[in-house]
Amino acid sequence: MIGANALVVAADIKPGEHITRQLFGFTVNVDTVYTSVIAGALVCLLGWLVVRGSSSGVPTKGQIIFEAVTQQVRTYVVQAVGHDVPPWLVPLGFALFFFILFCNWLAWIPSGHHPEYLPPPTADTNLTFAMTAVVVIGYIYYGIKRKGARYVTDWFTAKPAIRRPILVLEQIVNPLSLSLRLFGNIFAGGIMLAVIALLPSYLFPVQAVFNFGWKLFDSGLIAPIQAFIFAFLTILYFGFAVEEEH
Amino acid sequence: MAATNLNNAIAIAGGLVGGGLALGGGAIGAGIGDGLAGNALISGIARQPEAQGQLTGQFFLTVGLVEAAYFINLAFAALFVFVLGK
Repeated sequence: MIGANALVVAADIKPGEHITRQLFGFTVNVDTVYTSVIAGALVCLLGWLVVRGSSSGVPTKGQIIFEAVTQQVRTYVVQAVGHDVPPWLVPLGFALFFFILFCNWLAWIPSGHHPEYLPPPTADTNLTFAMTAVVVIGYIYYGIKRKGARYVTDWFTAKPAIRRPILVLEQIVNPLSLSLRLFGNIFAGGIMLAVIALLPSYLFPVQAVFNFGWKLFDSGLIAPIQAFIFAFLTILYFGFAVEEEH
Repeated sequence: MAATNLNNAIAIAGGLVGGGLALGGGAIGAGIGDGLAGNALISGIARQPEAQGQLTGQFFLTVGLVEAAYFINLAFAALFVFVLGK
């Protein structure tokens, strides 16, 4: 290797590095697996705590938050699919929001480099594509259940005619962008932290300030916004799957 | 020997330039998109100050969607610089 790239190699940033194990011939990113289990367990724990502490009299703070989120999800769902709401759609939106939020918030916890023991699992395309696959299967199933064969034929009978190729293209672009948007946002947060760590060591206080500031921005603004967008677009796509021409 | 050095140099250079282009294009797009969304927000608040809460919510939703393109570009730039341009 020539000397000039000693500078780049010293950066020692290995994007997309995971703790892996081999399972039936597949390489499994076990750090994604256990961190998403941890995030899921935290969501369930939070839910259990809120339900246990809630009362029909004066609501507790957690109860107010949960009820506000549920109400908002229900509003979007009714707006999207009409009043005939399937019973699993509001819980899906709610669960996606909180699960993704807690997954993203794992980025706040520093847990070493090479390997990182608690990376945010949403920084792994495996998880975001898996969640998108669940959503896509969900809305295709729901669209076919409600519209039958018209689900597909409506793409080719839309007026104005220019909408037809756009509708077909959307079937590919929407799921792809849904997963890559979430992945890109959270993954870039991790890269940003690695780049901040590259500041020279005599600037350590500055580095610490940048690190904290970026984490605040990442977990305080990007994490909730991206979680909300994923859940909101999920509901919106369910609406697209059953929309009728007027 | 010199050929592999040259190949390595070209690979690194290509990776860095590609990463820079991806970031530049993404930043321009995100900047323009966020600016347009902010423009609509400020106009809306100017017309109807009591709609501020709702408009600000929609603004952040739009910003999240616009920034998505930028962050996808950022992820690819990291790929180009640190993995492909090794």
